[in-house]
Amino acid sequence: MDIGMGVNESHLNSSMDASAIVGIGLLVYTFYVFRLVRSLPWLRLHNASSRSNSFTKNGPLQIFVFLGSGGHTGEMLRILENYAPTLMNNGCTIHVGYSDNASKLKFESFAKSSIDKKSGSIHAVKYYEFGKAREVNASIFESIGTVIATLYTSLLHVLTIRASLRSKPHLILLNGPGTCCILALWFKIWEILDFTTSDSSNMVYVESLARINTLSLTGKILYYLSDMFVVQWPQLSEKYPRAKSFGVLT
Amino acid sequence: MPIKTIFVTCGATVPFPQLVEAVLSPRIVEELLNLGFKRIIVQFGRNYRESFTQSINVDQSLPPSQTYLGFNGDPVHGFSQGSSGKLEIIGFEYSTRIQDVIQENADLVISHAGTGSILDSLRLGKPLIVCVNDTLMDNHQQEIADQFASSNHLWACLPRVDDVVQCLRRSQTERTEPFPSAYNRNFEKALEDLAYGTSN
Repeated sequence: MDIGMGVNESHLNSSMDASAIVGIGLLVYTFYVFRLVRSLPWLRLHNASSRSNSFTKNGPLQIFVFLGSGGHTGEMLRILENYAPTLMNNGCTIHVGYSDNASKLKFESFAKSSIDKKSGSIHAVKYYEFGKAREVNASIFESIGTVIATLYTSLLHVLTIRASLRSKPHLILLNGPGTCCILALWFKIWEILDFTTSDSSNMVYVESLARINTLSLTGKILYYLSDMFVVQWPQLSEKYPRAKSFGVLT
Repeated sequence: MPIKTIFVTCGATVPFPQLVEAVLSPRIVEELLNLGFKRIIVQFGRNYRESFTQSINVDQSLPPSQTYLGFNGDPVHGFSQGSSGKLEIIGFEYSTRIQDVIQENADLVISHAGTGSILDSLRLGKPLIVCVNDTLMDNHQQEIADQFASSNHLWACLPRVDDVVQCLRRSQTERTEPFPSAYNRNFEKALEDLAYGTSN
């Protein structure tokens, strides 16, 4: 009889423990589902900009740009130049990601020639080197290796950049190629997991000017991850409801 | 009186021999001289210097200096003799200052259909003929050229002598639409709203 009671009690205790764990688990689960729903731009019921913070952020802008090589770098620099008063205003910090040295050199000469002319001053430029997600003409097996290496190094960079952007006005500007997807994925994953802040990543993707009727592969992925998805030709914004078109920005 | 100059650019990535051969052909040289052009500057691209030098009469008497016209890229100087005069030819592989070359020298530009080269000319307000490299597969060149041509910002053609001659003639009688500015207040505002959380 006693033994029977003992068994029943311990059974009761363990089931209470279990329900407590399940309860906590459910809370955490709900919390993250809520963050997930809130963080994924394409799940939002309202448009991206309606998810604003209740307060207006002050202070110098922090921007992260990824220079994707060749034509991507060229277009990104044109956008920076055309929107310099907004993007490179007084005391801002520019975090520059690149995967080829030519892009870094281009940015350095761009910074020298364009920024000095403007009245505003840049507080700092910081460089981050990223591996290429995929070499042109790489086989699938080669690609898997480079993707894994890029995943790891970009995770470390993204954490550093996130810490710099944290609680300050910030923008992340991306325009391709593939490495952007890995970056965007890390930024979104940390936006969801990092419960210490409710900052949005503020990711802006600008599709290449060469894309008139179809999105690039990077564009198709970033369409779901970016907070603002911009195309440069109206044909594409008709096809993709989330895409905004402001004409040729480059 | 500035020398009436046409600038031809093949882009940085791949050479475009069909375009260079077309613009240096006797028929087009003759056409350019008839239209009053005295000089052609050709950015011919990587690994094409030897072929380029062989296809022109190299002129050692012209200044070989790097700084002549103010661009880098080790220019080759020469000329082509037409029935009504001499067309001065300057060729170089590539320059980091292509925009300066266009701005300072070009009265007309003939470009491959890459977006970077198209923007270089249109942003500087230069009349532009675009030649589509139809040997390249799947890089959107035809699509890009058609898009810009349909809104009358440039004249598009294939790198065939007849097509180029036709575009050259059109460029002397027709006007293209000015290219709108890249500045868009709504885009700027969207960036500000996102960055500072100021919407609504």
